[in-house]
Amino acid sequence: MPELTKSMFEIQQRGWIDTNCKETLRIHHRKVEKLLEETQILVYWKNQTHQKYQGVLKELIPEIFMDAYISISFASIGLYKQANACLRGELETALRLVYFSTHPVEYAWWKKGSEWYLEAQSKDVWGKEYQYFRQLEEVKNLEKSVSSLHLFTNIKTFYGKLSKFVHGGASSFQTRPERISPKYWRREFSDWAKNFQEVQKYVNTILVCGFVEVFKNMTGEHKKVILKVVSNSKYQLAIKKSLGLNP
Amino acid sequence: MTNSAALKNKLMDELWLPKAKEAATLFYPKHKRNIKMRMFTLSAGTSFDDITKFESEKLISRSDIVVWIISDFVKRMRVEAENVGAICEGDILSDSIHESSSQLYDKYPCDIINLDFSTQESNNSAERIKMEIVCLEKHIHLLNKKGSQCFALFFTNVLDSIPVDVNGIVQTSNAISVQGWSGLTLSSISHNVTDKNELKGLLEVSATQMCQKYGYQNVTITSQLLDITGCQDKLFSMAMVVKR
Repeated sequence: MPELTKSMFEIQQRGWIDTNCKETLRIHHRKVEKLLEETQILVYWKNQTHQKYQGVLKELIPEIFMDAYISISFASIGLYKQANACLRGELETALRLVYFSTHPVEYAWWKKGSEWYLEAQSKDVWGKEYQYFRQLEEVKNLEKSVSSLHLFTNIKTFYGKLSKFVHGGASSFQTRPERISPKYWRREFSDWAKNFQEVQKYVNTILVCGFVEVFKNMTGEHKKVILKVVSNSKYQLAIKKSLGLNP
Repeated sequence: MTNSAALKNKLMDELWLPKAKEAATLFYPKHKRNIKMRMFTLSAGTSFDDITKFESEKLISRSDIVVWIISDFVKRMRVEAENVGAICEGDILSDSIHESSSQLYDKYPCDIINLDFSTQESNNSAERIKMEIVCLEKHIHLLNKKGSQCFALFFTNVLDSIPVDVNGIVQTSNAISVQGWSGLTLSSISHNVTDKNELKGLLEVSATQMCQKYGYQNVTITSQLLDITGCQDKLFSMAMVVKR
């Protein structure tokens, strides 16, 4: 191998995989296993048989899964900035999925690379801010069912937090004065793990709101597992109440 | 899922590999080496011994392999790492294999079909073995549709103690009518089969007749019935070399 390439290979093998990954998994293997389990439930959404949504779910759920899975992989080797950036990608794709499930024309445009929404001065396909989602009956019902549950206010705040990793905010730097290369850091790993679980909570809540009939038709076991991943008891209660499920 | 590596190694060495080599010589007599047959394999998505072994014997090339797994992201990634030609996902027992809507439709014909149902998730349904036989017929049906003149088909499954409804198999098979075919004849077999040797006979007779239904008159079957350690179930495997 040429010189620089050889160095990169050795840095990755020795530093990132051999050292960082082994140390992370030595300490956090139970946590990592739990987080990996949370990614597995996305297959329940992908495998649903509701004709109307089959295409868009089949195409976008794998992307959501890979963002989550790669986030875990990055965090395991000490790439926390990239791990958090993946989480922002995962959240965005879930929002797009819900929007496109009822906007097939826009979905076809988007797949071809059109950026029609820029003319409306929005950076997102669904329009400005989260107005589109706030108008959905399912979201309104969810927020009404439990007091002081503001789903999209919370998502907005959380999205802003993850954006710091994407835009290179100083607080999310991957380098330090005493070290430039990735290393296992306990606090960074724990912070990322909390972000990871928050994202899974929001992604699954968004999917429940966007695909109510699909969720209602899932087996009791699948519903139970999805609600477990949502984890926050307020969100769990809101989902059950707004959909008329057994408490 | 039956994971016993020892059992599978035995089947590979004593049954599948010899039959695959026999098929290669029979189907491609003018090719002396590097035949590169197309293969379909039903896989657990965790080990790929059949692919590795056949490739090492220069019978297949990875780009000509179709792998079927249950729908699972991790298994999918694992199979992708094997660089096979195509990956299909889902419940193979409920797929309409022989119809144009099936994922498999455009990927056939194949020279070797490895239907190892023991790689799939454990299924205690009373209909399991019947569905596996029905699935076998769907593959033969598709091979016929795709103009295949000859193929090697390996069928492996777990024989348990749940009775197998022979009439149900006959009815399901006969529901797919083929001109000139009067229907499966399984009258010599008990209506509800539990005996493992009788089940072996049922599978072999059904498979032979199904091949004949679709115009494949020359069928040779070699089979093994192996004990599974720690339980009453047995692992059955038959290797069929089929020609028109």
